[in-house]
Amino acid sequence: MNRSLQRHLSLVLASVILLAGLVAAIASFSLAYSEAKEFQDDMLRQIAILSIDNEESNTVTATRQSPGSDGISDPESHVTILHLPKDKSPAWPAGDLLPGMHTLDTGSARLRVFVRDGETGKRIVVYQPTDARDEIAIDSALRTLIPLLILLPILVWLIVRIIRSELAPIAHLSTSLDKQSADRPQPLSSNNLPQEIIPFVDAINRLLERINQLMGQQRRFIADAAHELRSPLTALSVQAQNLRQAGSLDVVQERLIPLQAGIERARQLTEQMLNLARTQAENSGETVVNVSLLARELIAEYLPLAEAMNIDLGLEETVPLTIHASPEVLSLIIKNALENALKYTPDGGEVTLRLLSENDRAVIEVVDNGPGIPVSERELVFDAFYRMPDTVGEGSGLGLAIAREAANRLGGTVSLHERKNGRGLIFRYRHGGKG
Amino acid sequence: MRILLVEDDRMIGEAVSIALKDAAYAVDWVKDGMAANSVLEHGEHQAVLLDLGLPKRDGLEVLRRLRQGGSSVPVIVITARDGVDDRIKGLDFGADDYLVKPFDVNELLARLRAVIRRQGGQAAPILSNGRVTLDPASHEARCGDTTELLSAREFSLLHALLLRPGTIFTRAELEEHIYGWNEEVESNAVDFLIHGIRKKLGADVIKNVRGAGWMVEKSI
Repeated sequence: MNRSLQRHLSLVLASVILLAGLVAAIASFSLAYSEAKEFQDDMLRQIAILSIDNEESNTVTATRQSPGSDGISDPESHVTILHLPKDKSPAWPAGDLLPGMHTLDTGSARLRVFVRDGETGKRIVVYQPTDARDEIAIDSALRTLIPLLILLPILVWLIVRIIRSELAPIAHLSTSLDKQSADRPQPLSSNNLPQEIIPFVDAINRLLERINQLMGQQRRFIADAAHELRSPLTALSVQAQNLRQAGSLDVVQERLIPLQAGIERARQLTEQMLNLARTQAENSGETVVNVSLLARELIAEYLPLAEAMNIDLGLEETVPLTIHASPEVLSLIIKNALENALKYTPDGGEVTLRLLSENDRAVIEVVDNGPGIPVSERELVFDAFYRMPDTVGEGSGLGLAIAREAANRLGGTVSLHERKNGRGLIFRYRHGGKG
Repeated sequence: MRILLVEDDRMIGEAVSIALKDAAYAVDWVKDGMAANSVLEHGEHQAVLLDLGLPKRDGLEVLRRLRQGGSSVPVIVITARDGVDDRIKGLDFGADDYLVKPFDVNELLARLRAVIRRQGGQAAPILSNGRVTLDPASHEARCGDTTELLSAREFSLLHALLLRPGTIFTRAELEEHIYGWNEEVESNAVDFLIHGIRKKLGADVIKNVRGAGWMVEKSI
């Protein structure tokens, strides 16, 4: 299953934000916490300094005197100030403490103590229970977290929204692709699309264009094929009707001949159409083909026809050729070329099948001394059902189209050329792979 | 009745020629558009069956030139182009009817009879001068109480006469109606056929105008 980009992005970004938020929260909490403690230490120190100064003038102001002690205490922060004479140190707080900051454990509570010796020999002890200190520090540290905690979900929500809106064109694109009709897809519009997606859309559009072209070709072929089938069918239907009108058995016999010829013609046309469809669709297995042998077989096959037409059919072999190809497809090319050559070569003409090698590539040529084909027509005649104007031909118009399709299958090319010396046409197949 | 068939497909051309001859038409067949136009200049045909996809000159162009030359010979276009646009174009170019391949021979013959009939200025399918009636579909002729089936050539001759009652036809004109180009005209054929018709329907059906030719009387 494919992952959803939108969900994945949302999930990853949200996790990253939450993780970062968590780290930031821990860091800011601990920083604020230690800052608050330092601040309280400073406070103890300042109270001690102020107390000494005030002690000189005997104006100590404190909210309340804590009971059972002769110090000053603040109920909120639980700060207690003790003035001790230098010589009369009580057992507690430990008189033997050096001046400075200490943490004491008295058994009942932990205290943070600052001891300072005054100039007159008096000692000032300012202390505070660590519980109270911690509570204050935690309170203030927690307060720093509030904006972060409010911001985090908002941030996650925003990210999800932004990702969704950024990906909306893609969702829109896929629905518009879904809505396309299969037989005539229209190119997708790349308006309002992010730059990164445009190459992708362009690639899809190029594919659609190629599909459109192919479909157009197929549509034209089907229309042409239907059109081409009309002629033999018309002939057949009229011939059959003529047979019915025949008055005598002799006439019936006489009229059967064209009917049979008509059936043969319809058969040939359908066979050629099937050949074309097969060469387009199938991927027949390739083997090593001995072209010299194949050429001799094909010439033997067409020799009776050539002799009946008084055409000299021959082979010209400059090198023995063996190529890697499908023998069926290769013989389809040669057969169609030979049939064409025989069809258009006049009585007493000459058709030669020529095997040669050119730059390490196998080349098979069919050379005739027929009327040839004008340069302007030499590409058009490869189109299915195309017939040259002003020719009264009986062919299906498919032979060369089949040859080209078969050549494409083998990775080779077919082309028509003028004969250098004398009139006539050269049909040339150039094999794609090495010999 | 002489028909010009313009068709480049050898098999269809041969088969349609046979079918038309079976139906007692004289048929001339040409295979390209230029030949069609040059033959039609002579005006010896009573109807044209015209294929559109022709070598040398397209069928529609043949039709355009024919009508431009002032000919009103009935033309039936026979083609594999079956698009509505093609049909409209064909009819607008001056075709009298349009038949799409593959077609039924009987339909072709019926349409041929219809265009020839209309050309003769008659809307009714049965030809008549008030005395003799002729059914082109069945080749049956009736005069008074007798109804006779005519042979192909007999029909052809009587048909030519009945299309224009009151007009005198020469021997050559009648022969032209009955025979195609490559058919050998038998001597006395016209006399022989007229004799046959008179024998079947009565001597006064066809009038002989001495030195001029033959005619059927104009309807009274």
